[in-house]
Order: sequence, then C-alpha cells, then structure tokens
Amino acid sequence: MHTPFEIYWISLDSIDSRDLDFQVSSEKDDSALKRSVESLGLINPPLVQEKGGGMHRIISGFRRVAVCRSLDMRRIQAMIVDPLTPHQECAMLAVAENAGQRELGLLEMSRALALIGPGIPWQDRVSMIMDALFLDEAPNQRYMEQVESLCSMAPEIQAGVEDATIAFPVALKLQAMAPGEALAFAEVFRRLGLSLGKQREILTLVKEIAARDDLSCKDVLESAEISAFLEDKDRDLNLKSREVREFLKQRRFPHITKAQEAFETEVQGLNLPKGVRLEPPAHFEGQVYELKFSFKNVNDLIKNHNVIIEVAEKPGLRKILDR
Amino acid sequence: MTSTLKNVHTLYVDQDVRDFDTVQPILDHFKGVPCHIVDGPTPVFRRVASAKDPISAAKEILYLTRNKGAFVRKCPGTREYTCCGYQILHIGTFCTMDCSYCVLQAYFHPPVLQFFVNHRELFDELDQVLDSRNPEIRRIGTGEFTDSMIWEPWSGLSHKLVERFGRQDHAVLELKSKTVNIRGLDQLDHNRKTIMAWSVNTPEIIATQERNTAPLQARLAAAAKCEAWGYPLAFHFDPMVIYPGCEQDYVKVVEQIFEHVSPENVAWISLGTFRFMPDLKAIIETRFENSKIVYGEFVPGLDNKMRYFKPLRIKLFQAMAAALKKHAPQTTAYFCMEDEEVWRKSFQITPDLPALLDHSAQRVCGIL
Ligand code: SF4
Repeated sequence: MHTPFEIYWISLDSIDSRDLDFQVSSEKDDSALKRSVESLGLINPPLVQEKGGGMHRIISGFRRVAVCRSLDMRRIQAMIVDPLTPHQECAMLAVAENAGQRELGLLEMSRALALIGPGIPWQDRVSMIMDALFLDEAPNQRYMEQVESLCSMAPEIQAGVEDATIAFPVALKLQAMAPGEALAFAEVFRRLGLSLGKQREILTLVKEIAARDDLSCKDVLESAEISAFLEDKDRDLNLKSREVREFLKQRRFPHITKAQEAFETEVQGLNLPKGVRLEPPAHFEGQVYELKFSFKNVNDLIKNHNVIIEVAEKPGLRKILDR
Repeated sequence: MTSTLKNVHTLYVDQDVRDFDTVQPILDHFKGVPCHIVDGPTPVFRRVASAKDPISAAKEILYLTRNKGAFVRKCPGTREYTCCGYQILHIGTFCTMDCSYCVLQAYFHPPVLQFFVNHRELFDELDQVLDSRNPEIRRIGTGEFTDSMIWEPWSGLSHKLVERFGRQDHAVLELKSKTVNIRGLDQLDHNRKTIMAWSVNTPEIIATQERNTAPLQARLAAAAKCEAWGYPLAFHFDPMVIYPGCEQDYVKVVEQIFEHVSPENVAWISLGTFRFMPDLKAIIETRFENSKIVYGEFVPGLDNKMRYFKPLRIKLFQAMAAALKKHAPQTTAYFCMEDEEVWRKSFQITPDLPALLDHSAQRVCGIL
C-alpha cells in the first residue's frame, strides 16, 4: 500500500472536526503543543481527505487542528489524501500516524484496533494490525479483542480506564453486565480510586450480596450507607474506601464479622500485657489459639518469662476459649 | 422426574469388554442409541471435553469399560475431621441427575459417565474382601463416585450385590440414591445385609438445587416400601444448606421420615453441611445461574474445602440433634467430616465413629 497525498494550504473552516471516524488520540492537555505551534508554526501538517462539498475529514491530527483553531489561525498546511483512497486504507494511515508518534494508551489502542479490519477474520487481520502498529510479532488475539472492545464500552467506563480509576480487567467484567449495573460500579470505582485487588473485592462482594438477597448490584451500591460514605466531605479517599469495603464485608458475612468483633472486644477486656497478642484459630474453624509476644534478646525474654501464666490467669480467658 | 439413563444419546464401549456377558444386555437396552467401539477412553474424553458444557454433555454419553484398579477402596477422609471409616465399592463414575452442589462436577477432568462391566473381577475381589472378615471393612457402599441406583434396572448389578451380601454376615452393603429405582428389590434374598439409603433434603433445596432427582415424598415412599420388604434403611442429610428458615425445614424432614418409616429399622442418619472445593464455586455459578448456595458464609476449612462458619453449622446441627432425639432417640446419627468441637456441642459426645456405625450395623442388620 502506498497512499498518494499532496501538501496544500487549506482553510480551517473546511475541516470538519466533528467527523471523528478516524480519531485514535485521546484528549489531553494541549498547552505544550499550543506553545510549539505559537513559536514555530505547524511543523507536522495533519492528514486529511476531501469528503465532498469542499469539506475535509481528519485522518490524523485532531489535536493539531484543535490547537490551530484555538490560536485563531485561518489557514494551515495539510497533507491531502486522494479522495478515492478507500476507507480501510485511510484507517491504516490514521493508526500508523498515531502509533509512529508515541506509545498508544489503552483506549487509543482500542480505537486503533477498531479501525483496522473490523469484521475481517483474525488470520487476515493480524498482518494489517502488525503493519499499522509497527509490531514485530503477532499479538495475542484474545487480548487484542478485549482491548478492542474497550472503545465500545460506556463512556463512563472508558473514562475510568483512561484516568486509571477502573482497572482494565475490571472494565471487561463491567462490560459483561447490564448497563445500569456496570455504571453503578463505574461510579463508585471512579469516586474511590481503588487498586485492582480492591476493585475486584468490591465487585465480588456486591455481586454476591445482590445474588443472595435478590437485589440488583445497583441497589447494593446505592444503599444509604455507601452513599453516606461517598458523600462525606470530612473523609479522605483511603478512609472512604476502607469503610465501603468493611461495610460490604459485614453485609456479606454478618455472622463472621460479628464473631470477629466480639472476639476483639473480649480480648481487649483481658487487658493483656503490652506487646502480647491473642489470636483466634483461622476463621474460627480449628481449635488452636496463638499467643504472641516479641522480645529482642535473652534478657528481654527472661523478663517476659511469666507472660503465659499471667495470661492464663486472666478471668475472661476461659470464656473466650470456651466460645 | 428422576433421570436415570433415559437421556443417554451415545454409547461408547471399550474394545476389550465388548464380548463380556455383562455388555450385551446393556446394548439391548439401548437399542437404537448410536454406539461406538473404542480403543481406550481418549475418544470419550475428547467428545466430552469439546462440548460447550462438558458436565452436561457427560451426563448423556455412557462409556462401558473395565475398572483397572481396585473395586473396594477406602473412602478418602481427611485427618482434620472425624471420618467414618467407610469402604467404597467402585462400580462406575458420575451421574445422570444434576445437583448444583455435586462434587463430581469438579472431581473428574473431564467427567465421564462410565460403568464398569468387569463384574467377574468385581465379585472375585468382593468375595476375597468379605471372606477375609477384615474388622475394618464392615460397611461398603456404591454411592460415592456415583448414585447407587441410576444404573438400575438394566445393569442388574445392585441386585446381584444385594444377593451376594445376603449370603454373608460380616459386612453391610449401602445403596445410596436420590432416585426411586427400587423395582425388583422385593424379590431378592437380602437377609437384611443391604441398607437402602436415601440422600434427603428440604423440598426447597430439592426443587432448586437437585435437577432430575425424585421429590422428597417419592424418596420417603420408596423407603417405606423397602422397609416393608424387610430392608434396613439409612438417610443422609448431606449437603445441608443454610438459608432463612432452614432449621424448621430440616426438622420437618426429620418428622416426615418418621411418618413413613420406623426408627428401629434405620441403621443411621448422617448430617453434613454443604462444603466444596473452591473450584466448584465457578462451576455452580456458571451452570446454575439462579443458585444461591455458594453465597452462604463460608470459610476455608482445615481440609481446604469451603465450609459454613462453624457456629452456623453447630446451630443447625443442634436443631437436628434435638429433632432426632425426639423422633428417633435410639437411631445412630453422625456427622460426615466434622471435628470433635462440633460433635461435643451438638451431640455431647466425641465418639469412635467407625465403631459406633459398626455397632449400628450389628444391631439393625444383624452382622456378626
Ligand atoms: S445425585 Fe449425587 S452424584 Fe448425582 S448429581 Fe446429585 S449429588 Fe451428584
């Protein structure tokens, strides 16, 4: 493929910036680009194609055109692709132009993949993808298809992936849900800014509570308690996130959390010597408790020699052990 | 409706068993069903594994083969929980019914509905085991890797086993089922050495989690018939599922059992709450979309299976212990895989479980 184009001066008014068919780039802070165009002019002309009626569609250079408009420029130089160039060829140019300039973000990659041979069998498509993205090896089909699906997800989920408040694996899970459910999760994740592990934890807890109680996930996520945590202006994000997770755990495992709390209260009532900890059997399943204390050296250990007796004689201990 | 093997739509027969005298009656029964002679299990595995839902597919493909290993095996208990010392008679694997909680879904990779047809070897081994009068082998059952009765009436194996056990007095055979395939059992010389056992659950759990099994009423009616034919009985509340109102429902099942049968003919009643290997969770979520059973309060057990939080198990067991004490005070009740704390808090004892069950078998079935 060798697409012919020529460089001409064209009026900015003849460029249809609402035609986003070939857009790959995500919106970003353009101030650096703006400064550069102001001082040096537009060094790298955008790639456009005539679309009839004297208008042009952008193939590559959406941000450059936007910057020139914001600087009140009237005319710019543009590389004009032959109007008969097929759509797929223009798409390849759009992707290659972007991929050649920088490493594409996940959403940009998604748009790029959606442009390259949609609907064509993978074995025919893979070489087009390799060419347009300058790849040496064939990429993993399943992963590429997952990435491609991103740009057809709800804008809120795309935005979450873009600003890293929704992890990509979580976005894929949201995509499989009913739209209302997915958006309810997206809203909470975007407000809390959680790690992947914590997003997964919330996803599982909410889904299981909803399934158990015949509710929707949206009902659970929009409960009065969670709304109150999210709205509270006095809490920082870490605290909000902890409280939301603890609330959900308590709702999902009411008896287990209650038993843990009761155990902690009872252990506090024992007034254990400083640095000594009593731990219950894991998940209260086994029957073996652990008593832990630390020491630095032999003298320290000797000083602590009667810790066990002291703890064993605590009046409340038997009640704890006889649960 | 109980599904036995009516849904089988393909048969595979291992080349080296095709001439066994046990095979032809089975082929006659499945006349019209496509049958492939194969050289080993690979084509069956492939066929099952390539299905969209291999577990469902495996319930419709019957593989007749030979058991190359031991027929009598010790039930795999774990050190951490009290085990009952049961012996498994390995007659086949998998099942045509479809319970959400069925461990067999995650146990075999892929699952295969296979029936072992080398019965001559089976009975030779069984003769040896029974003649040895090994004191550790007093209770033998076929319902561990399959349901005991789905293979009836066309295999005739259970009937032969009932009569074989009837000719000795050292051990009992337990046939455990969720079907009501009891036709012909009245004609057999069982000598009370076969215990007809049913897994029971609340009508709610049967309706929502046990596809293609017989309803509770039908199981109890079948049990009553077997009792009338002189068979000792057993009931297994396993898995018990915790849900709102479950205690009253399970207690009601206890009451219903003893409206149908008398306690003195019941060799034992086992209790076990739902527990599962972590891998089973995703299988249940995928295959039983409306099932809520994996959303209980589970914790990892000492055997790495997920179990209900212990105080919840104990609460349900205490309600059952009270109901059993009321309706069948002399009947042996036991826990399947629980620790001594659960025993103590529910039944106020920590028994030698194998001895307790052997003693029950002696009392109810007359083994020596
Ligand atoms: S009846 Fe038993 S073996 Fe059959 S599916 Fe149900 S649990 Fe599994």
